Amino acid sequence: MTDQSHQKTASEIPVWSWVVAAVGLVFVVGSAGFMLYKAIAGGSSAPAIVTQIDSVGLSGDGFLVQISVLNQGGSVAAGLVVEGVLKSESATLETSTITIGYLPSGSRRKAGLYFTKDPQRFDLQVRSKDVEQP
Amino acid sequence: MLARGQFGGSQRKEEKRRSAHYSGGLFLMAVGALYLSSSLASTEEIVLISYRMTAWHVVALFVSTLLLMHGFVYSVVAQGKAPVPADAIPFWPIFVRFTVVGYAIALLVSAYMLWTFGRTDGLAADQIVQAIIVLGFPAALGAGAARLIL
Repeated sequence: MTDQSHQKTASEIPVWSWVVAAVGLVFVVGSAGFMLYKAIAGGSSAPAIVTQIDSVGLSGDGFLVQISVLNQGGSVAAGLVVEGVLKSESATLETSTITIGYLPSGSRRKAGLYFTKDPQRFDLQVRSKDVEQP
Repeated sequence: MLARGQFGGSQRKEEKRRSAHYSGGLFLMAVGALYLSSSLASTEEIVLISYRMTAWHVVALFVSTLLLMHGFVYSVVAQGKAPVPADAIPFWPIFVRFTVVGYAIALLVSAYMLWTFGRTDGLAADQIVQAIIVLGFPAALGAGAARLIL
């Protein structure tokens, strides 16, 4: 009796609802599989920070250097300090720093450093300075 | 012929009623997921939690959320609010048609909300999936509660 009612119930279920179920199943299983793969294969190497200068331009009464910061390591960088230094020969003319709260593995953040002197006339060096792991 | 027509007509009506009931249930789940996730996706805490979680933490959260969602769905079916007999609840059809689809809706709504609030900008694909699963927990809670209460 129970089997008959189950068969009856299954035959009464609209076909489109099974299609929706199949799509949902693919989505959920895909997400689970992706995270399982990452859990099994993924390492937890230290953050590896790469900085890149995107543009330099006038901004207000100073100059704005727009930068991209990328974490190529396997773990999150927290409290990342990026420093830009303007140098003329060996003398440091000006320093600007910015702190990025969190930069996850494989992720990119855009930021800006302000200077009062024109960075295009001097030697500009941008590098990551300090980082902590949460 | 008349009897067949009458019988076929009532069968079609019954099928339409079941379809409407099922799609209505999914709509309620989407509304519930949207309600809870919209207020949380705008905050920074969700992505910060996902940054601090390891992949195993996320897998555990994924399984827990799926079980939670099935608990809600089971309650809905047991109360006779779903187009399924409440006296004999088959596991797999209910799990695949309601739990999995409800969770998929919660994840899709979470992804949309994170994208809307700019929380996915600059993030790697695996970090986006992690954030979606973290926000998927309250979204699934909202989806299940909405389906149960409304």
